[in-house]
Amino acid sequence: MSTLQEKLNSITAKEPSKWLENAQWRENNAGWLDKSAKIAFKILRELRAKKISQKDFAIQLGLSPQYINKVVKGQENLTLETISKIEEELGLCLIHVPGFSGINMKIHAASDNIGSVNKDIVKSESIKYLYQPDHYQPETEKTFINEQIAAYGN
Amino acid sequence: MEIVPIFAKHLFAVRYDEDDPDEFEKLFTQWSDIEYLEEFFETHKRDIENGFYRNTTVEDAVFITKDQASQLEQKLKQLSTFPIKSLPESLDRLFRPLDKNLTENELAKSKAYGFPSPSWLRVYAIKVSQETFIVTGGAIKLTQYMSERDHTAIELRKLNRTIDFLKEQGIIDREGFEELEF
Repeated sequence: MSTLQEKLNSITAKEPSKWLENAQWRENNAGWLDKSAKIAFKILRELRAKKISQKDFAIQLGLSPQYINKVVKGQENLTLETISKIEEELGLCLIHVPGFSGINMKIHAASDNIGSVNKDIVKSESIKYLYQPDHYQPETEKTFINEQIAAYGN
Repeated sequence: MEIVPIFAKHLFAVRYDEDDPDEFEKLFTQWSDIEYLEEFFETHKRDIENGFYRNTTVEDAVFITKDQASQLEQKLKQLSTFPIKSLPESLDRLFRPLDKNLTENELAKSKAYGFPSPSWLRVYAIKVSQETFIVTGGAIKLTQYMSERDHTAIELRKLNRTIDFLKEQGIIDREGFEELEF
């Protein structure tokens, strides 16, 4: 009479599960996968709130639906270019570099056109997040923006 | 249905369809998939807001799950490197009988929990011998009884379906895998 192990062997696939290989990959890439997951979640919530399908979003960005699906699964090692495109399209901030004030960079970049920068600042959700990521207060922000323009303008 | 080795001739998983991954691989893929988790917790929002895990937001639930799955995966990865001799004992500690009235020594429907406790992650398995477990699936269990939600009731059916298959194949011949309500 065959043992349990022999019986099991007779009905067991030769190829082992891919789990171990995948687990190793997840461990090796944990750093960027963690960031990718957070970005994916923000995008998904925004798409849900705005009732935009992944397919339509892909069209808006000029990217393939397959690529966007990988992004929202949190499995894509995104480039800064793609992140910026998505931020612009959805009007939200996905990444923030600590120690940098977004307003200074924006104002320097467009120092010949302070008026339009000011307009952009008020309009853009992504820039709002850069100023007050935790407790956004429009009035405080407007004062802050005006102070910055006064300091760096002209 | 097919049985797929996970590691060391002690842990196996079921593959229900040849075009699908095995259940063990599928579980950890799902639990690290943000799209899947966001959709799941949005669907079961009421359970995380009002149930046992009250006042949990969808965002918290998604990242708690991802983190706990990652810790469970690390633990299992460690087990896969253990010497063959000590592995059965370690698996026995990881998988507990689904029916709390049974002792660990009995062949039974079993479950492993996510880390840290309390965790809503479950990996379901059949203990076919003192040193062999076959994973049949898993779930994010948000209610007291598996029968209360479709996605956990399905897992009960998968356990029973696998038992029938293993009986047909002569892998298990003992009675005692009764249809239990959990």
